[in-house]
Amino acid sequence: MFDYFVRRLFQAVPVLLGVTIIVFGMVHLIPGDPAEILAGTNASIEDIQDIRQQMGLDKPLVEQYMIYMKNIFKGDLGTSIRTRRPVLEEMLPRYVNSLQLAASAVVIMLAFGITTGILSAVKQGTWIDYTSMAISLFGVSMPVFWFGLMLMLFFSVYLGILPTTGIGTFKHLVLPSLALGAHSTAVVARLTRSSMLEVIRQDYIRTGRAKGLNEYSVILQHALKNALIPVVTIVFLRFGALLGGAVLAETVFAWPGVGLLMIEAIGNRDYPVVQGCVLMVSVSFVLVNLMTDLIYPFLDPRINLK
Amino acid sequence: MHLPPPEPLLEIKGLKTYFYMKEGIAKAVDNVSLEIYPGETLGIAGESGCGKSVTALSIMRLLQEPPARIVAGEINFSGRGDLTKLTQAEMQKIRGNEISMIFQEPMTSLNPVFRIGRQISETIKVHQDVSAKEALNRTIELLKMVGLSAPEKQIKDYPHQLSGGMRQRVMIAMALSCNPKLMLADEPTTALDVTIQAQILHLMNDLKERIGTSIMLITHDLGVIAKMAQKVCIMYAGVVVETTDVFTIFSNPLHPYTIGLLASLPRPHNAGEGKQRLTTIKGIVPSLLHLPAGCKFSDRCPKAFETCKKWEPPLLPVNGTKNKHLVSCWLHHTPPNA
Amino acid sequence: MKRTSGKRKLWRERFSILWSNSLAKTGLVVIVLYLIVAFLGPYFAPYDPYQLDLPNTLQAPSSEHIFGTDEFGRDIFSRIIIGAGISLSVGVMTVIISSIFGGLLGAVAGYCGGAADSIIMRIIDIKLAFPEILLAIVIVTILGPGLQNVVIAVGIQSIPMFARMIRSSVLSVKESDYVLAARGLGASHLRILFKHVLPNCMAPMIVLATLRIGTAIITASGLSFLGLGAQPPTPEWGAMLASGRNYLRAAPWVSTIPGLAIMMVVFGFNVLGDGLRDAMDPRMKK
Repeated sequence: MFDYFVRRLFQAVPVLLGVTIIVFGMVHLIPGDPAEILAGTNASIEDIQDIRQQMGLDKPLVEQYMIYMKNIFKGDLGTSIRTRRPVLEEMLPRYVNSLQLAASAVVIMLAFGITTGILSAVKQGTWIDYTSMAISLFGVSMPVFWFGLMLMLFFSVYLGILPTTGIGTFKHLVLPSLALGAHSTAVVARLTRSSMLEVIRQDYIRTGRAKGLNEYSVILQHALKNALIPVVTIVFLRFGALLGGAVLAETVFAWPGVGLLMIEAIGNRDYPVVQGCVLMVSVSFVLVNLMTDLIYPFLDPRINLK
Repeated sequence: MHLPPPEPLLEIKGLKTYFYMKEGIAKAVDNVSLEIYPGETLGIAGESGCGKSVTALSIMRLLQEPPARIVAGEINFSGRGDLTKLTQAEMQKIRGNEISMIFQEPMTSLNPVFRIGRQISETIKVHQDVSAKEALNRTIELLKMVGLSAPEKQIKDYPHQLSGGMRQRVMIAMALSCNPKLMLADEPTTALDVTIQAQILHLMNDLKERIGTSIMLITHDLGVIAKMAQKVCIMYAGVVVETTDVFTIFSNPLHPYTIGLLASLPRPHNAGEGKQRLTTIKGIVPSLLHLPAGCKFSDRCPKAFETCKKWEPPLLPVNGTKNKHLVSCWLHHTPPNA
Repeated sequence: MKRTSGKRKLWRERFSILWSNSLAKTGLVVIVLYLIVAFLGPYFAPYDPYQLDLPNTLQAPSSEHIFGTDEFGRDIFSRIIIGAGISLSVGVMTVIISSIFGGLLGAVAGYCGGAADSIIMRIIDIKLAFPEILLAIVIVTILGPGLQNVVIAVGIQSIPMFARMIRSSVLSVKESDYVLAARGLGASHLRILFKHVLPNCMAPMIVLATLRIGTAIITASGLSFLGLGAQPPTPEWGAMLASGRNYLRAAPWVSTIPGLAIMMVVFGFNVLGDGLRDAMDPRMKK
């Protein structure tokens, strides 16, 4: 068991390194002089020279990378060109907001996705099944930004019961979470359904009934525990993806998260911030994926930890 | 002075279980009648598809109601009346409790994500009002009874950590946990190695004596029947063609199908005898969707005559056997228009 | 002789399963309509999609303008038609890039094994470390905005899926008897790859490609929505949606209609892809 954990951790390291290399390399891939880019459009020649020296941009690439990595471990992800504040300071509160949004989306996924999937599986072939699967199919095909706008149109503009943009109260959280979670909820619903259908056909379900268990125990305990194994994995993975992939939802609702920060920074050519955001989000994603692999043996005792 | 004849524990009368499918109606069980008495093992033998499993599942009412349906017949279980008339809720009280069932594939018949101790205790807790501790103790006791070597540790095991034979023992423990009056065993040893088979059968007999359960043993293996059963039913294409005690079925089979089955068993030959070909029954088992008219065995029977193809023979006792040997064959009963 | 007829029978069987799937047929109908609009639509568009008509901005749908007009008075219906062609080419080109590069990578990784395999798989893992939109945004940031770069960025997105699929197909076939026999007869690696290995991957490839076209269209329109993809005045559906944001209350059709178009098209591809998957998979999923 322990070996498995350690091995997975080791496997994650080169991936993380690769991520840092790409993030580091971003600035250098953009056409133009990195020093000019990082100094900003209003910089004077002296400013540019300063930056060049400070960031060591006249040194060979590998050395620059080392400096970059050293800084990261010190907690220094650079300085924002626009606000002159440390990138980390800019990012953290926004990151927390993104976390909040992603977590709410996960709650929606679990509450609606799993229940719909179970219902559809148990009532396979009935109108409940067809309706929810049809809705799921549309849910999977809808663009996030469009659905967000439609929600806004209906609940904010027409009904006026929810705010359009911004953050602060629970009411502000509802629409963005729904928009963000819609796609994943549909995926979870379909997956839960197919997983349950397969599990219900298994011999051990028949054994459960033969023991005299009532249908609720059979479905909600015996079947569900097996069926949820792939579903939980997907939910974890989606959580990680939603952390960094919420850009579109954040844009539509002006939700001050990491994704929106990144887009703003791109618009402002504030590349240190862009780098910081990409780094933070990717690392989170890798860590969430790692966690998913690590909890898997706890979900499925059959896994041979070799 | 004669004792009054014992009451049967389970009595099936005229059971018909059909499957309604796109392609037609499959008459999996078509007018089956049998009896099991307390403390006896009834062997149900026949090829795959003859309806033996469906009969057992009909008793337990475990069939999916579409597409299957119990179209006619009674299943009278002592003290509970006609099982076909009970609701699912009432059946749930009986399953695992008074009637239990074990299945063919121990590999897939246990829930892979629950420990085996929990799977057994669960059965006990559902039917008996005991504390968790008591259920646990009983579970350990049961595992000891079925021959597991380290029950206290093994209750924490998952099914995949046990061998096939051990898993079947766990299934048996689960089935016997509430001291059922009747245990249905559907091909319990078919998926196991030959050596393990013998152990499991021995165990089943042993436990039967101890607990006093009757067993309905379903198998295609006549050797198993010979070892375990007191009475035998031979089934073919959804009907019982012959039923009698185990000695008679081997020494004096009457139905041509039974005779054919026994003849097809490989026999060790004595020195001096040449090598013999295995005898087979000509033809193949009919599809349950397209059964022949009249006797279901008529198109393969070497002794079939006109009446056989027109009228289905009833299962009736043969003269002179004191109602103990029943056959469904026109060779042994007078057809309606002689 | 027998082998080809066996294969033909398999494909015929698959087709009949697909044909009996009415949901998949709906998807097919939607896609055919989409293709017709994309290819022939421009000839029948009632207005010039770029034609400004300032007196008539933000008109609601009417008999003159079926889908209304946008903030510059342009006819939305015509713009949707042209946008169909744009999204189609983006979707198809993206999948072509993904499948070719992904396929090559996967084939090399699977066939050569060893160091090449490990390196390629590591690179794919690194790519997968970035959540979908994020990497596309990064690439577009580096390369600059515009549809061309969007195609590259989104194309890179799907490479891992194709690579993994081809790799596992290759791995499973590599050690099979007939490949060893072919090797024994002196067939070159390339020949084995093309003649024996790739035909096995055909079915799952088609399924994956169909499903990924839908994803590509959504991602590309998302990038355009953010301003990173198609630049104005290109009538790309995502960009059209973005420009309608400011007029949501006054003229909701400007944003609603392009989004509906995207949803319908992606729905078509998803449903068709699902149907294809069920047809290709011998185990019937019900």
